[in-house]
Amino acid sequence: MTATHERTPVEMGMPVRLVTLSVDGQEVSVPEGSTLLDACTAVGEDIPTLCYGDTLTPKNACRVCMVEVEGSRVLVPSCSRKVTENVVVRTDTERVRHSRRLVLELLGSSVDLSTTPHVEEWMAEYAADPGRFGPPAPEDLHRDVHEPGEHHAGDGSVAETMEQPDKVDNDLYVRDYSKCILCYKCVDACGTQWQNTFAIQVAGRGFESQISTEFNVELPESACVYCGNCIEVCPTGALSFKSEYDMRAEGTWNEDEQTQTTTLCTFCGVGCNLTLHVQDNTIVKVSSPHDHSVGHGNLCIKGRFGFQHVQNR
Amino acid sequence: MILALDDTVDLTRILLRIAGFFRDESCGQCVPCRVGTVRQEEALLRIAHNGRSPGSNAGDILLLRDVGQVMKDASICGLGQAAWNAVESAIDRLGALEETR
Ligand code: SF4
Ligand code: SF4
Ligand code: SF4
Ligand code: FES
Repeated sequence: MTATHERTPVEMGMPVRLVTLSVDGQEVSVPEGSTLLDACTAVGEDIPTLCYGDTLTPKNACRVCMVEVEGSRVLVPSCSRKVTENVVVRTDTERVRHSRRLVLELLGSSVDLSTTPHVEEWMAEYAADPGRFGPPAPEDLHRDVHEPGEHHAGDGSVAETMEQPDKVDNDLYVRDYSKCILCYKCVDACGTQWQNTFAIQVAGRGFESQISTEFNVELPESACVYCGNCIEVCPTGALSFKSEYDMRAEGTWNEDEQTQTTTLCTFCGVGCNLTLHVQDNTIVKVSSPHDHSVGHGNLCIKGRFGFQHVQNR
Repeated sequence: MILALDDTVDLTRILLRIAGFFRDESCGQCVPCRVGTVRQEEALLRIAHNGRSPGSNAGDILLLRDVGQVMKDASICGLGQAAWNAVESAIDRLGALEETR
């Protein structure tokens, strides 16, 4: 018997059903499995997000993306709620605006958001006043100490914050948890979702929560392998390259003067893509395109931090 | 939940105790509850420590209402959603916090 001509099947994927819903009175159809955020974006609504990450499973932690869904007792996180047929969504009601304003005020009063993109615009748009809770409490030198039992309540004269010393314990990246909104993205990137190194987790609970290494050891003593995949997803600049941190301290960091060039990592054959951020002919940080099919924004220590030899002059 | 108290108790202190409980029990996952329970307790502490001239708590009561509403509307779980119930009913039904002690 002669072999029949082999044909390679063409991957078509499963047919996707469209779901029709209403967003602010406009009818919109999006593929089944999309989120309310996708549907809102499709009709041109600009919904703020912080803990949502395009390469991560939604954690629903920040609650800045809330929308009103007809029939729901509470507001709904648009970043994770999947669309359903005929659902009626409103993005700009009194309740939604109140919730956005308050989330921004609560975050702004407790976290340094000075390097978080878009926050300034959002604060203005929702007329948020983070100063209304009183003067910020001074830096806490013991945020990493988690004592059992009840918290120590003050007298309400100052607003408690995340303010704490920066963790500068290695040459590659800095952890400035005064800027941390506890979005869990770094933890997820370091854990099962990407890196599987499990070097960091949330320690403590409630307002005393902190991202921490095991037993709060310094990074070089921890399980960290310096892939920098946590820096890639951090939405606030709490995690940053040492180079960026130093330049910001010197006042020389200037994103308007930086170019971004995406290239191939030359260290091994995996094929990760690197985006080199260059200022004054010097690589100042490395990111990785989230839509690239090999790494999805992830790299290893060589791709992320192994650029010094390029610029030894 | 119903809590039966006679009219000799200091409602502000009871509310402070409840606010402290919610702050301790917050897991810290979501912003409205993690920070809201702290701001709620801080406002109650200010009211408790205030000289209490009539009407002087208006700003803090507005703040409590604002924070309470976002905890109720936007927290992930029932703990945050209920963290302001006792304070709300004490203000609305018992007129607590406004009067001088
Ligand atoms: S650099 Fe990599 S291994 Fe280290 S904490 Fe970040 S994600 Fe985890
Ligand atoms: S360090 Fe960054 S990524 Fe990690 S929880 Fe804080 S804000 Fe989120
Ligand atoms: S509302 Fe629930 S999930 Fe959110 S911080 Fe409070 S206890 Fe945690
Ligand atoms: S972006 Fe949706 S909950 Fe944070």
